[in-house]
Amino acid sequence: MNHDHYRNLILDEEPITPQEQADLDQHLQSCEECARLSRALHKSLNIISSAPEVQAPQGFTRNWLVEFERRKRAQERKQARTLIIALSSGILVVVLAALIIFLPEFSLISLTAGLITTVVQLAGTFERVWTFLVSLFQSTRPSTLVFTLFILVAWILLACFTLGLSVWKLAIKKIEVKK
Amino acid sequence: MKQLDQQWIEKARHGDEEAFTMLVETYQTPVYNLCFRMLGESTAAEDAAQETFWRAYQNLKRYDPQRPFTTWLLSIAAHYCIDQQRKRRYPVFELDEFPDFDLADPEIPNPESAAISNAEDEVLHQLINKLTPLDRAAVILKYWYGCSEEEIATMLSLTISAVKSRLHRSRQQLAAFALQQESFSLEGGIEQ
Repeated sequence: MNHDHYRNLILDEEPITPQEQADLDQHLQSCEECARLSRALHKSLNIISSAPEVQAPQGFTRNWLVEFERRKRAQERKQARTLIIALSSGILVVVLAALIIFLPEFSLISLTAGLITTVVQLAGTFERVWTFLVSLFQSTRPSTLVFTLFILVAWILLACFTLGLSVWKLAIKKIEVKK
Repeated sequence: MKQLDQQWIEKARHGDEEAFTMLVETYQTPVYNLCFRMLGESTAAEDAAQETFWRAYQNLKRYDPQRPFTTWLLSIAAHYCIDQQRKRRYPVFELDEFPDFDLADPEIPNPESAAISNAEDEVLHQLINKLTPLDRAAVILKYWYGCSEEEIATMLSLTISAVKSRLHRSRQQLAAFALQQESFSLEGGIEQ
């Protein structure tokens, strides 16, 4: 017997056809489980829908008026604070901008010139380092280069092996501790 | 929506505070009821309802007059309560907080009916507390306020299929809880 179909009919509260209703009624007469579900649901919903409306406490409107005035004052204070903060921030920004633009020590032009000089110097340093590396590479014998490369690769492999070994040991130890 | 309400809304949209106070007076109970059912505690519910009206006042310019004002207000309240529940996680419901049991209330029911109401409310909040905040909001809007799935989808910023799926899951949980309660009471009866 397909109980799920009838359970859904009971729980969904969707409009059903007279044929479906007749089937459901017949099923409820023969299936105690579904009949109990239907009864329990109706009982619960009846308790909820028949509960009386709870009246607002006496003096609710009076309390509202007091609360309304309090909140309005708080909101006005908040708005005044926001306005003062916004104005102060605006004035501060204008003063700072004026200082940066007009004072000789902090003028915008000198700051920009200093920045460009630093960038050019940095680029020159990188170029010198690169030239040195290229000349070193060209002046070294191929056998020395191969040997250096071999040492470098061996060192990297050794470092990887050591790291792998450490991780493996740690993993084994963890398993031993668990045991 | 009454013609008078529309006039107040229009006046409030133009900054008339007294008109908005009239709207608070008119809609306080549905908003408070939703907050109370969502949060399960009167102080938190009142705070949430006050916050709802404040948010509504601040966003009144964005309110679409084509939409029912109650739906718009309840949508704000539901979103706020969902956020609150996600932040605080209300695990239990304080029965002492029920306004019905306030001894100072002259309309207090007799002890017998109070006991019945107490038990019913306990079951009710046990049921509701089983659901996630968003599912709870969907169930409350559907079964208390009679909102359609389309309205709930708009109010909770969900798709209609998501609302259907949430309601299906909630009904499943509610039925499971009722069955569980039934089996507990049966076991209790057998033991006695």
